[in-house]
Amino acid sequence: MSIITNLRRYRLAADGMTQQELAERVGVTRQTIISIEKGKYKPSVELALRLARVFKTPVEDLFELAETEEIGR
Amino acid sequence: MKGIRELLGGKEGGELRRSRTGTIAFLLTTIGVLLGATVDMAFLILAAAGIFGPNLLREFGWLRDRDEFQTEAARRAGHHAYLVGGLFTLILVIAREWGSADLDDNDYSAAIVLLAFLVPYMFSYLTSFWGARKAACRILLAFGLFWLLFNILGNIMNPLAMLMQCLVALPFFLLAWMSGRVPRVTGILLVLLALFFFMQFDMVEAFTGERQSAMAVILLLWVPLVYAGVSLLGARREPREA
Repeated sequence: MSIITNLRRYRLAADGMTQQELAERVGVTRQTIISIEKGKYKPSVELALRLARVFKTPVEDLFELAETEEIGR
Repeated sequence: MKGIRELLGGKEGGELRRSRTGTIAFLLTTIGVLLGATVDMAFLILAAAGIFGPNLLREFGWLRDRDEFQTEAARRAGHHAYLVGGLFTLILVIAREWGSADLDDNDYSAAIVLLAFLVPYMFSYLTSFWGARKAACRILLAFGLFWLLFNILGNIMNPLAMLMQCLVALPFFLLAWMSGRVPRVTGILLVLLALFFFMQFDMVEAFTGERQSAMAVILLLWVPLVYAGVSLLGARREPREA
């Protein structure tokens, strides 16, 4: 199942917050943020909620299912 | 445990600090290998501490220096190590014992290699799948039932001996019942029981080569008991299964 991530867009919109700053705010390494932004790693629900809290936005604005995905099959 | 965390670095107050674990592990491994190769093989215990120690501490929750991405990468690496290590070791045994037809009574025992990889894998999988309490309960029930079955079949002509031998299964059933109710107490009892078995049946001889067959007993009986006991000791932190 593929997930589209808007994390990078939100991060840059937040006064150009760096990956390191974001990583420190949610308690992970910078490499984890890099992997999430590149779509190589799908974060846990807990981390997704923490990221959403940083940007004060619903979690589904940061991450969404790719449109080709069919739910319920 | 705070001492270990302070020594190694790790997670404090929800933030990851730079961990010293890798440096300490590297030093221990290097010193252990050097001394093992030049002074005495016993120094390889230092290398073992360096290689396996950090992950053991992480497994017990005493060292929290990794985030979820690193943890997932480490789990994937562990799975690949299981596949590659298991295949490599088995191929080595097959090559060394080519032409013989005995799984156990060899210099390179295929039975021990298979058990050493499969038993921990199976119990780890069951514990992750069912949760510590349910897994320990079912493992102990299975032990008790196997004991009953073998003793009934073995003493079918001697009812009194059968009855006496079957009583040995009762502690397993009792511990299975306790594991869902008082997991930490059961965990301590299982670890103590495993230590008792180890001493009582001279299982150390399996490592010294005096009684190689004891290794199968260790892998089939001792390892599951210790595994169930240790996982029950950490079961308090997980929510009770439905």
